[in-house]
Amino acid sequence: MCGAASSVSVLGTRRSVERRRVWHARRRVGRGFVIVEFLGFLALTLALLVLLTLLIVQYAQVRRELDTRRQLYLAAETALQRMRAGISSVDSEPAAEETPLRAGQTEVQITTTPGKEAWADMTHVQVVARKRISSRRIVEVELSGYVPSASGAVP
Amino acid sequence: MMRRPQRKRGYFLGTLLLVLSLAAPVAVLLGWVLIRAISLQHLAAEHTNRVAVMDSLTRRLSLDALACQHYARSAGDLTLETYGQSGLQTVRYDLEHGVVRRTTADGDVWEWRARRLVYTWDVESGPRGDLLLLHFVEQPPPHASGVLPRTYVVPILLPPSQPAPTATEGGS
Repeated sequence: MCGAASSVSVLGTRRSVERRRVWHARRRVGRGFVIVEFLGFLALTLALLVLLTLLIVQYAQVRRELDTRRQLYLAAETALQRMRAGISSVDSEPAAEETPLRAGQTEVQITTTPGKEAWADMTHVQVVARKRISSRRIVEVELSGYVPSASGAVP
Repeated sequence: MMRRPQRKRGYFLGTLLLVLSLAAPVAVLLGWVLIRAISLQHLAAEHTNRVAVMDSLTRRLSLDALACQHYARSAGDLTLETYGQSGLQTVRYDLEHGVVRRTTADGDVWEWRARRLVYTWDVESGPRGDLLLLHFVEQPPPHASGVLPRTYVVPILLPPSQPAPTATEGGS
C-alpha cells in the first residue's frame, strides 16, 4: 500500500511540475502578446495625436495668414481711396522705411509715378502693405491704381 | 496548486495597471486634442459666417455708393440718395447694436447680423469725396482669454456731402 501511494505521489508531483512549466511558458507568451498589442495601440494613438495637433497648427497658420492678407488688402485700399478722395496728398507720400519689420508690425509703402499718354492727367499710385506674422513669414499685398494729380484735378 | 489563481490574478492586475498608467495620459491628451479640433471647426464655421456677412454688407453698400448722388449722416444712420431703376430713391442704413438694417423707400428691408461681430463707422471728408470707413470688430469667444478682437476697416468712397461738380477719376 505504502509503495503504491508513494509512486502515485511522485507521479502527482511530476504532473504538477509539468503543468506549472507549461503554465509559465503560456504566461510568457501571453505577456509578450499583450505587450506587443499594447505598444501597437500606443503607437497608433500617438500618431493620431500628432496628426491632429499638426492639423490644428496648420489650420491656425493658414487662417492667420488669410486674415492678415485681408487686413493688408483693406489697409492698401484705404490708402488708395484716401488719395482718390483727396484726404491725403499724392505728393506727400511717406518715405520708404529701411528698418526691418518687427513681428505684428504693419508697413504701408506708397510709390507714385506720373501717368503717361492717356493717363497724363493722373498719377499712378502703387501701395504695398506688409506685415510680419512670424520670424520667417512676411505677408505682402500690392495694390495699384490711377489717382487724379494734385495739381488742378480738384474742382 | 492553490496559489495558481492568485498568481494569475496578480499577473492580470499588474498588466492592467501598466496599461492604464500608460494609456490614461495618452487618452486624456487625445480627448483634449479632439475637443480642441471640434471647437476649432465650430469657431471656423462662425468666422466664415462673419466674413460672409461683412462681404455682403460691403458689396451692397459699395453698389449703393456707386449710384449715390449725395448722402447725409447722423449718429446712427446713413441716408443715401441713389439712382435706381425707378429714378432717384432714398436708401437708409441704420446701425444698431450688432445689426445693420437697409431700408428703401419702397419698403425693402435687408438686415446683416452675425454673432460676435460689432459694427461702427466713421467718415473722413476730402475735397474730392468722403471716405466712409466701416469698422468690423470680430470679438473673441467669451471663454478665450488673451485673444484680442480683430478689426477689419473697409473703405467706401462716397461723393462729398455737399453736392459738387464731379471730378475726373481713373479706375484701379
